[in-house]
Amino acid sequence: MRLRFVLSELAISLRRNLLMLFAVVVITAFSLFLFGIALLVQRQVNLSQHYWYQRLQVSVYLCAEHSTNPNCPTAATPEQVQQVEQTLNSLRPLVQSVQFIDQQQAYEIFKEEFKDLPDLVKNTPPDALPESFTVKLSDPAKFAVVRDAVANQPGVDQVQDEHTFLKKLFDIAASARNFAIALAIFVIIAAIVMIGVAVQVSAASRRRETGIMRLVGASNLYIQLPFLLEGMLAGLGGALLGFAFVAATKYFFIDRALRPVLAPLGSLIEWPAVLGTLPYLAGAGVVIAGVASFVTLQMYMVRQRV
Amino acid sequence: MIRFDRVTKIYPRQSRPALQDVSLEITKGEFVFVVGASGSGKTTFLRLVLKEEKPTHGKVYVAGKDLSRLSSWKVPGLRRQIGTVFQDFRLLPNKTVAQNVAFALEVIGRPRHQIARVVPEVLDLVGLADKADRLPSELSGGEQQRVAIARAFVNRPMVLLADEPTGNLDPATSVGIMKLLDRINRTGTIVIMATHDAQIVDSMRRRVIELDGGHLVRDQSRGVYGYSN
Repeated sequence: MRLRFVLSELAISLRRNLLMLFAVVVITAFSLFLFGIALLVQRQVNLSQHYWYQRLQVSVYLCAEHSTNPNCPTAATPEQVQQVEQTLNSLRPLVQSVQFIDQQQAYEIFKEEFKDLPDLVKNTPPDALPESFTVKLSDPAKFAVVRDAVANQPGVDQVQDEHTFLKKLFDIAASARNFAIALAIFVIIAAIVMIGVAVQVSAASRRRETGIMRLVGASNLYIQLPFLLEGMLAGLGGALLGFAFVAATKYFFIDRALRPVLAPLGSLIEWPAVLGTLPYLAGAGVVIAGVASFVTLQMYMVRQRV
Repeated sequence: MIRFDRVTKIYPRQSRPALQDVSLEITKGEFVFVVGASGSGKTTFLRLVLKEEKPTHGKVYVAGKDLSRLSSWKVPGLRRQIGTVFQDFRLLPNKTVAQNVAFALEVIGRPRHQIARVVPEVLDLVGLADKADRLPSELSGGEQQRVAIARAFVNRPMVLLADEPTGNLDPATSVGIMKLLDRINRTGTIVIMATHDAQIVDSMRRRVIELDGGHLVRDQSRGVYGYSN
């Protein structure tokens, strides 16, 4: 194998095919950009999930004097409270900690949460707030286990979980990611077609050379390698450009636009995570382009006897 | 060396065979003319030797090997033992004479020092040593065909196939090309030349194989082009 010869043939081919390759690079970049965004959304979801699940709590509200719930004919009796606490404790290790919040503590939290609304605080007597248990779970996704265990116990008004709300949020993020992936696949198909066409054009423009190569007994590998490398190089170029788009998104959109707004809601993806997408994009670009070129060449060779 | 055993070739979507039941043998060192009208099967005959086509029936043997049993990845190996020359030269217009010849060695992975040694040798053989750095467009037709012959012969093949090599050349130039092919033949290389040129065939007095409508109608050891045509 004469590497220098293959490379010089590759250089000639690249120069002749410049415009076509530019189109391939751009469309590959766009598809891999979408793919990279999907990866980043996934990373962000994982990050936020971790952040929020760490802080996620289940609140078991107990019957108060004025509860409207039919399960609550009277305020929860001390025996009932004890029973609920026992049930919760029996669920360890899923249940990590159980904290009882009496009406006074609930009122303090209430005052703190609504300090911007002094009228509301003034008009709410401490005994209007129910007692509750704040339960921390080792796996917040298993919220249902806790709910099923205590929801129907006497003295329990309702079991509330932040998980339900967050899940909706994450579901939205997941659909955004799936949409990006679907769009990426769509554009990748277009990119594959483009690569195939570019390789065929390249092969056709060098029919003279390849014809002579076949005639003097060059191996198929030798004949096809420059075209294969050409396709893969375009794929790599597309991947690098696509990564540049991803990095620009991180810099301009996430850091400049989103961070000031979203910072209190937990951590955002950082540069290492963005850099982490590079190998995936480069790998995808080279492999997709390589396979597309190879398959096209095989079909083309059979048809044209290159 | 080359043996056709009852070879018939029928191209798809054509009722009339391009070659029909052709059997012959060409041995080492022979110079063979293949003559016949256009469409008589001359080119098909050459393509079968190169395994560019597969026979519909019968077998083709080259150097003792049954080509139908030669796997596709060994075809390049076969072609390295066969040089080919065409009527239209088929040179690469953007490469010099020397580069055109070197190309045939580069693409089969020959080391550069070997290429640097043998390319001037073969250019000397074909009489173009002083034109190594010219582009094909700067050469006459005869000179271009010499380059093509140099490229076909540079790898010292056992067989040289020439498909109407003088078809585009004037008679005087053709004589020079025939002298060159004769010289190559004297090195022990089989030369198989398809041609329409009666004058050349008659003057060389070599073996003549005549095809007519795909049939082998004549095989003479020191033949002429034809009786009347």
